[in-house]
Amino acid sequence: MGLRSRPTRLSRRTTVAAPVVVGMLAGVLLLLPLGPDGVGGVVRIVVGLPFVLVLPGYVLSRAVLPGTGASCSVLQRVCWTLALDMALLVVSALLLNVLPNGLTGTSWVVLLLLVLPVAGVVAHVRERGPGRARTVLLSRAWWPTIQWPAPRRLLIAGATVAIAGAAIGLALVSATTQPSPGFSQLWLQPQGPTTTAAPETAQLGVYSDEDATRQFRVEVRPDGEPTQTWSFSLDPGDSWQQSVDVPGDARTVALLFRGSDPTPYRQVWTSP
Amino acid sequence: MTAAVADPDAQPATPSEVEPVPTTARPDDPRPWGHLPETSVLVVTGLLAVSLAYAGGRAGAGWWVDPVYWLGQLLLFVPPLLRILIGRRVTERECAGTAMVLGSAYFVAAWCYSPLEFKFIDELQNWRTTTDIVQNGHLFSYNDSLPISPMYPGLESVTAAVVVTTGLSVFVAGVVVMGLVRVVLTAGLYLFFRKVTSSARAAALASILFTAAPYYKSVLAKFIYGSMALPFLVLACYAAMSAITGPASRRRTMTGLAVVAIAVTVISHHLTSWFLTATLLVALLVFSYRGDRVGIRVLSGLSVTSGVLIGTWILAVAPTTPAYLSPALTDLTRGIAAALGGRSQQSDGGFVRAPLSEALPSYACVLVLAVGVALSALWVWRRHRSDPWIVVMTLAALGYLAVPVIRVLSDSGSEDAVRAQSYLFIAVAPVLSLCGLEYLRRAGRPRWLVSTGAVVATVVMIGGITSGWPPAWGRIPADHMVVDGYENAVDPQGVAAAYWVQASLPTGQRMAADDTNYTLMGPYGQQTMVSGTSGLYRTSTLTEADRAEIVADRVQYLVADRRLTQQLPAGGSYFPDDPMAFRYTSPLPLADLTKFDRVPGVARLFDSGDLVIYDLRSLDGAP
Repeated sequence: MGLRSRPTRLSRRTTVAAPVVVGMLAGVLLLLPLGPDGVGGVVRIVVGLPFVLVLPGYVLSRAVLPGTGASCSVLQRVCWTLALDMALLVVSALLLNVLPNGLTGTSWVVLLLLVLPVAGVVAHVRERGPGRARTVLLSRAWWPTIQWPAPRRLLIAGATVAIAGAAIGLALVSATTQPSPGFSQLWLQPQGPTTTAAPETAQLGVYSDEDATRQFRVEVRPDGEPTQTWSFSLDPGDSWQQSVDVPGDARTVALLFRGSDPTPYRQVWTSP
Repeated sequence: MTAAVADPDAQPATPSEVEPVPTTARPDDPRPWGHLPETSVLVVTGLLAVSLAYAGGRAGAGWWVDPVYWLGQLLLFVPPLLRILIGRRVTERECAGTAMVLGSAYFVAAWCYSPLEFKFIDELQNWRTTTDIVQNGHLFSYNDSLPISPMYPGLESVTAAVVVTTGLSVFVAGVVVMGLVRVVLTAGLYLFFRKVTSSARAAALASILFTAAPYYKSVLAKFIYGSMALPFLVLACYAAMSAITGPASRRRTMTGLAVVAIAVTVISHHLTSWFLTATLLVALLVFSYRGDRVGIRVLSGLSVTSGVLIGTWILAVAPTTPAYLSPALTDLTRGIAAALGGRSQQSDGGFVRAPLSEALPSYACVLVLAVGVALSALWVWRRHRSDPWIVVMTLAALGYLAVPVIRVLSDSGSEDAVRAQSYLFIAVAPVLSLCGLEYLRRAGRPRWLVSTGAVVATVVMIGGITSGWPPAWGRIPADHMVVDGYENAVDPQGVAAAYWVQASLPTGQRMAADDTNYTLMGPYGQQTMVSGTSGLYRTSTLTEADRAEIVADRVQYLVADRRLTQQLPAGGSYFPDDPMAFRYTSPLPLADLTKFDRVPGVARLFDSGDLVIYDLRSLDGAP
């Protein structure tokens, strides 16, 4: 038997207004130029996920299904919060689609910023209806009492989280470190219009996804022309590109050699 | 005091004979959640075992991988099952909590299969649609890899909203959205089952049984537009039922919620919305037969709404839907006609190609469910025929009896039958649970009978895995690229080649490829993939027939994957629309794939070792 504390009560005004205010602040924050990386990127994720996927749905669910306990259970609240949120996004997408700007980040944020206060007002009004519970969210209707779990329960809960975390971590680590044979790409892509007209130049490129830094040599052999050669090393994930002249009336062959191996590692060619 | 998870609208039309579960928890109840914590530990241990098996597969580990995988599946399924079946005192919270824990654990297990990227073909297709929305800022762009997908943009709209507001990748955003979809599905199913059965224990058992559906553990957790629609089908039914059986003061609200759920279903997935309409019509028939005015009014309104929305959507947005779905129907009707005429058509025959260890539980699962549904129908007729919702569910559950027929008669019977079960299990699970629990209670819950019930349910779960997706050869992630191995065929070299195509070639070029590269070059490469070109890969020299095929199909580029010369296809076919499917006895000869090296006028554009891309545009007579 754990320790028992006094139940926490929040007024219905708080439990409707708080998500609206938090959502509005989150929306305004998302309108700022936070940038895609660094702290700004993290803020966008931490703030953006509840702003898009939870808060509008929660306020909508409070507007549609006011009250708690006998009016709407926790499971129903969770279910309808997420469902109404997704429904809002699906239907709103059709609306945003007809606007010139379409479904951009700004248009989504502005739309949700409009929905939140409107739904909040409706929820507030409906919560005042007859027979509604005076307190919600953390009232007795939701939690009999907020109890400190017994140590054994805490241990079990901790074990559950730890084991689930281990499963997730194992999946991530094993997939990230999964060995796969290294490879390199060689291409010779004619430039210009995509017709069958003979090209004058072509883009020659090498991309390495080998297991380590490798030394490469590329030879280009246009028919009847002197051979051009380039040597370079590439780290895994790096690429090398070169524009080369290719005669339109003859085949040009490009060969890729890896290390000191005299056998061509890759080969490509144009057609005359 | 009101229980945290009690369904306030629960009004048992017919008093259930299932052991009553206390719907309220006393303030001094020391265990309001019952044994849920202990059950959860066992469930996540099962999850860990499955993840360990997947890790072992990726590392090329040996014999222990399969046993650990099956141990994990048993730990996931059996402890919650036993607790709900055997537990003398299970609270409402424990029942709901068990359903939620199990549903979430199965979702994480599905994610563990491919935790870094989408690999399943349908996921890649929906990834393309989502990426187009993010890049273009508008819906309904053309997606050549699955043209119907942009016309049903429910899942993609939600995911795109997350991507553009948070900056997350489509993959991560998609996983987050699908995780929430799973929460809605699990909660919605529990609430719906709770209302149908008027019993928390039966609802929990039905939720557990639903996880045995063949696609539940994989496809329904994947980033696929149909997976988004299913929870809204359930919520539409739940809201409709609440509108009819709940207090009159909430009728409009619940009817409105049902309309919203119907609208999202219609926008999200064609087939699911058709199933939803069919369910509402069956319910309308039952309520009409009973003369229930409220039910008739609500259900007729919702049925008409659903039909009108579907019709409007098809006419205004998705006119190709009937043409997209008609092959499956034509295939089935042709199979039935052939059977009636004493003939048989080429069918994949359900499980015939599976090894015996897979076929036995699959057949046992079908047999158990078919017999169980039939017996339950008799039970419902004797004891619950006055309860319209149980009758509706039973009528829908009887649809399961068509599954073996579809398997045998349809040209692609396995896939069609398994797809149908995702919907049918919504009815099968509560009917079997209710009748099973009532029978156990009337029989005095003898230990041997409860044990038998648990074993039978476990057989259904195993059969769901063996007859579902992925098949045995793809159940564990492989340590190498598996030709025609679907998710196990997607490797870094193939993905990199597809991205090179996207960056280097104009979009929409007509390209021929094998099965795997077909699924990559379309969504990632943004090319128009041409099927039915397997003949180009089956001759050692370029024949006149090959040239004619290139001209007829206007093939501009061709992908040759040399791994096709090293392995037999795991899934039975090397190419889309492969006439040689399931008849290969040896890999393709190398000369058949390298012949283009020797053809004048063919440029060899790209070479990454196993993968070579040829430019056929300069070939004589080529497009």
